[in-house]
Amino acid sequence: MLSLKNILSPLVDKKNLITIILVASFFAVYRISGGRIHGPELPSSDNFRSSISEEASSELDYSEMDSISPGAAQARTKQPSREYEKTDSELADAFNAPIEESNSDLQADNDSSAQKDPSQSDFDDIEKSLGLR
Amino acid sequence: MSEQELIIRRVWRSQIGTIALYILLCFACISLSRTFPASVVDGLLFKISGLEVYLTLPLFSLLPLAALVTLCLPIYDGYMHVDSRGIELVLGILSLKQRITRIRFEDIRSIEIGQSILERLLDYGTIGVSSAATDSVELSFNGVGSPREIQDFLQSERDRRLRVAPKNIITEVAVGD
Repeated sequence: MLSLKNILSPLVDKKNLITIILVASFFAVYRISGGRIHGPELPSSDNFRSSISEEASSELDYSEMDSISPGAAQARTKQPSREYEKTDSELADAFNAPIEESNSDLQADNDSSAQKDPSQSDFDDIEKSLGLR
Repeated sequence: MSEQELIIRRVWRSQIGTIALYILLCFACISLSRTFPASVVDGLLFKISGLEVYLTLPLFSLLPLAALVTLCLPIYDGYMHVDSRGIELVLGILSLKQRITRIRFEDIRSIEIGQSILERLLDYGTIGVSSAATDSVELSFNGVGSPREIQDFLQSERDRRLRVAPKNIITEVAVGD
């Protein structure tokens, strides 16, 4: 017969009471160890604040990067960057130089290359050294 | 004996070693889960109509769980049932294989008790009942509380049955040649 006494009597029985205590202790250990059953995690206020701070720090990083000049940024890098910096400065000077000066420079280079062919002289030297002439 | 029935189960103090092991594993689970946070795994348990339920499981909690199952299984896996006709031992209630042994009071030849030193201190032991059919113990049930009282009770019931049972008088008829 379904009655409150018939329902509660197995629970208050000594044997079943010890079982209930042991199972409850296990669940307590489970919770203390970090286990739980939950739904999908929603962003809490603490998590929201931390995410905002992370975004702010990332924005600061980007702003720092924007304020850095190309030369200063390259100066922070390793040794090979100095060569690029030097090349950049030379290119900047070359671009900034007047057009006539660049043309005269180019003409001078062409004249010097036409007068002397360093590869031919080297070839002659090699022939002389081998005794072919 | 009236129509009353007596159900005898294993007592919790017979599992004292397993209880100590369970307590030790509980403390070990807590300390190891905090020492190794990577042992706490998180995953989707099930999904019903869009509702997702996640489970965060410390892997070390499986150790006390196994000890708890080992602890509770003998208590609920079998019992000894004494009624007006005899003794019935049911084993394997929660197991795949169940065994039921019944012996009538009239067929009981001897009732044995087995207790170690710890079992004598905690007053629990093993009861063995042998019948006239076999030489060995036919019915054995360990972890029983107050085994000496149960032995005295069963012997008194057997003696009462033997006194009450009518004696069969065999009349020999001599057939003369």
